[in-house]
Amino acid sequence: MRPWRSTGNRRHGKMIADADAELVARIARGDREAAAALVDRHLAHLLALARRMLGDATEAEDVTQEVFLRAWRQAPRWRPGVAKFETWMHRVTLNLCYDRLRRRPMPVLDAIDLPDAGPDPETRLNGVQIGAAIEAALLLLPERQRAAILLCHQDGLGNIEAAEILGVTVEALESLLSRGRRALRAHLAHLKEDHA
Amino acid sequence: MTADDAPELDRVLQPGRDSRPRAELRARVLAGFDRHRRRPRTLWRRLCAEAWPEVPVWKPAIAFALSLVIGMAAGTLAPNGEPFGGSGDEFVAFGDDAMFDFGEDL
Repeated sequence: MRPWRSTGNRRHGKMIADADAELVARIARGDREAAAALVDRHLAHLLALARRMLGDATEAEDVTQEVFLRAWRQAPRWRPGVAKFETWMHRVTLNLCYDRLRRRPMPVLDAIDLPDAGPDPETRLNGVQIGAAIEAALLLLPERQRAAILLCHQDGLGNIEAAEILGVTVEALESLLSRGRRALRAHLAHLKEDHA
Repeated sequence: MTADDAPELDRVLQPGRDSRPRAELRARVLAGFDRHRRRPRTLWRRLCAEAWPEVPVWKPAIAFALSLVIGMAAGTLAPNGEPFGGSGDEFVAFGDDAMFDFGEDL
């Protein structure tokens, strides 16, 4: 994994306001309450990110656990104002997911869990099923496009922050998003046909 | 799914963001913090913990100091000149025609 290097902000000499900075400083001093607060603040969404990146709940838990282990180690070395700690945690999560995805064989369409279709073709892939179908289709996207979609649409991050996490320019992120959305549409159409 | 579909994607994906993680996972993560907190901070303490885990630092320190003292005492007080375990007359003899082959022909 590449060591964390914040881009942009240091270059522009900006100080980043970080809601986690105080917690991280306390964690560096061994404060368990601060560690619990950081876990409560970030565990759920990092777990969701890992789960949708990997499509596997158990692996996602392992990844999240590893992210926090690294966070405890990183805390004493953390320099506040350079980047947000949350951004760093997102990046570590994605890198760990990439590592696991690269060790896997390519996914096959049949191996992906699709939602049960209703008896009536007219009601197929509606409501909750659309959500499950999108989740299944996400797993078919290239990992960078999937990460871009999840950071922006699931975690609700802005383009600048998402680009920083992915280590790309904002233009490159927009391109990843646009290709990701197009590919999602194609996969969903394909899945609909297969289940029709 | 184009940029026009972005709000639809937000609507579908965001509810999964804050689904409650298992309490067991939270406990495991915090147990990791406790282990990390107990981890020795200096290189010396880390070496001691590796060599002799789960004991206070003074124990491996005393053991090391003691072995150093015994070694130095043995080196200083042992009689000089005579090798251990023999009169010193032993030697290894080879016959006149002893040959060594270093494998030049290989």
